[in-house]
Amino acid sequence: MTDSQNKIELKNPVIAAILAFLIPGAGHFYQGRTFKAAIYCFCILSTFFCGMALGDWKTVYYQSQPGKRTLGYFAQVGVGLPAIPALVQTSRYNKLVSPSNLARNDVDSNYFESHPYRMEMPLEAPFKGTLLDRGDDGKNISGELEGYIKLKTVPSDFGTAITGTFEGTLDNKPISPLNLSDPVGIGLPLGGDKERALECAVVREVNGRETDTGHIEGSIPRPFLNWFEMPLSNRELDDINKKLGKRYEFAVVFTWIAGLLNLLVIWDAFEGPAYGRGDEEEATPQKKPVADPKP
Amino acid sequence: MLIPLLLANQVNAVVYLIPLLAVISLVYNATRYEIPQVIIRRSIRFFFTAIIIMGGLMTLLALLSWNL
Repeated sequence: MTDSQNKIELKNPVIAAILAFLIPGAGHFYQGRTFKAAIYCFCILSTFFCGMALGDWKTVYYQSQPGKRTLGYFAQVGVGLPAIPALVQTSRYNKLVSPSNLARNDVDSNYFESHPYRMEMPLEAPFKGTLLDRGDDGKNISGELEGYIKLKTVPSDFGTAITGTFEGTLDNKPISPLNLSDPVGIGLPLGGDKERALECAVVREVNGRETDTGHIEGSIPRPFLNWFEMPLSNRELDDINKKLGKRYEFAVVFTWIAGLLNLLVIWDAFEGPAYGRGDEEEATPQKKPVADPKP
Repeated sequence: MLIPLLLANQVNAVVYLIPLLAVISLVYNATRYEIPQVIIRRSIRFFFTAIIIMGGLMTLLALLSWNL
């Protein structure tokens, strides 16, 4: 600490430090140090969000399950409010995938069967994916599907069954609606990916009977709150590493560094700059008065 | 969407380090001093010093791994 630090008005340092933690630069803005507030806000938030964007918005999450814990989050959380939703999302995710929750729903731990998707019915969503089917004339049909999917539960001989329709295009050409049926597989409602996997059987009437002739496989979108800063499953983590390669690692490092830099900023808001104002070395040293040799 | 992703993948990884280093030098020096001119002057010096040191290390490593 230098004497010159006394010239800096820190107002209430505790409030300033809390504000600096919540939003980088906010503590300095509160103290009236607007130049530094602008530097911190721009530099730290842009580094953090660049990191998130470079990593396809999958770099900030907290995985709290034993053996999968992500310690890097403790660096990221230094950036404050932008990283805090990850804690809420982790809590939501853990409730969904907890063994007791799965057991209560009486389903096995299979990826597609591990949640009560039947409770989400009726389901209507845009769908993108592929079709592999055999047409009424016996010829194979395949291609890219894009359109709208509707699923609902209906009573059946064995409890409930799922039926539905797909309306849209096959290879950008309109097709007649496809009838869908069990077995249906839908990914978890919560996950780090913006898309949620969905597959189900296609049925046609053959000789007066509904027959399973093919299947569709693709995805429906997840709402923003169901994927943003949500923990990644092993498969999602593998996919993002495969897709982005080392760019994903850089993106994660960006978010770490943003969080760690904000720790310095919080300390600056609380205690003032480490080396003083910076004008001490430029100040001209005062000459000591020459002692009078004569008594 | 795909084209920017492909382009970003082809960019040399070192390119990401330049803006990162600029941010680090600016924020670090802003936490050391208070006067804007001093912060900017020190940041520029910090940035180029780091570039020279990293460049030197890279050159050294490149020479050591020559023909390996």
